[in-house]
Amino acid sequence: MKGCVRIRRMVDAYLDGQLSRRRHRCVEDHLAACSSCQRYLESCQLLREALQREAVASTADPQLDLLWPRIEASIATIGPGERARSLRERVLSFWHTGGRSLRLLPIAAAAAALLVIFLPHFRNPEWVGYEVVIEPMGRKDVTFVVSKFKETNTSIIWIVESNG
Amino acid sequence: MAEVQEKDLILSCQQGNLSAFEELVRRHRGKAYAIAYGIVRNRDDALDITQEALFRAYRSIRKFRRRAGFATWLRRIVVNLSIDHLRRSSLAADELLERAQAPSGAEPQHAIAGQWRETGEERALHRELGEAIDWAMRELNPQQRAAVILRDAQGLSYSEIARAMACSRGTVMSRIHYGRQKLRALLASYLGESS
Repeated sequence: MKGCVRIRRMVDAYLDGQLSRRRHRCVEDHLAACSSCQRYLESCQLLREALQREAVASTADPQLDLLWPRIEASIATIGPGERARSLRERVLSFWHTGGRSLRLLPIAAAAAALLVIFLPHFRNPEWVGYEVVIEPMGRKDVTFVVSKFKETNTSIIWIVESNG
Repeated sequence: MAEVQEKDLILSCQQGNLSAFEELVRRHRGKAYAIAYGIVRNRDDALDITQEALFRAYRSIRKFRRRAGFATWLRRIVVNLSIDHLRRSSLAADELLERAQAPSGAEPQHAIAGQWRETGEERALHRELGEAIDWAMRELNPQQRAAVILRDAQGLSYSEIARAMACSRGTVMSRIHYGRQKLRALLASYLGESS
């Protein structure tokens, strides 16, 4: 029959539902009239069904029961660093290994605090000034910075540093 | 009792719960093994690949983000390992040796097809077609095998296969087309094709 070669080229896409509506209809019309291409389509389906049967049989292979003990044994061989860990373990590990840059955090915090203290000096005319107080507390000296505001008559006290 | 949702199992695994991972293995081992077997065509190798894929998944579970499903992620690992296995192994050389040692005068599919005509039973046909498919699949290259298995045996869409094989959709379509064409040519006498 005319057009068999062209139709057979489209059979895979037809079975996969990848043809446009027009081409899908064209293949169906041809298949309805051509017993040879109908057999070709059946052979394609037979192959696909055989592969599906094989896959279904594989999922029930009894040797799959051997799998978990083998995986468990493999997991036992790896170091605790590679195992899935709790959040606490991960935070501690990050701090000790990858998170070294976080150790600069207190310095950054102190710099930010100083910025906040001195910024009003340039921006707020109502700001009176600041006072630095160093107080001994037990064996430590603690540095307080006291910012004073005229209008609200309030003070903000910043604990900047403590020395042991 | 309601089955625990997969995202909860993954979260639990990420917090170090081994039982949760065991449950994930129980849920996904069958499909992972079927894909590996479909590609490498050997039960022991398929089991080794499935084990290795699940072990790698465990080691990387902390990095797993739930954008894609666990099955999609695992499938990609299995396909990569299976294709690598075929590349590494001397399978091609072994197969050439087998063919050289096979009785001369008939291609394997013809020999088995002859038996099928003698028995004529449907069950035998299925078994023998299965054996013939096993032989014919080995004639495909690893990428074609993987694409045909993922499409025809696992029923994945072209886009899912493209993700699993890390290639374009067009490449997937081409691999499936040429893979099926080769299989049909090799199995013509089983499939009753006049072509």
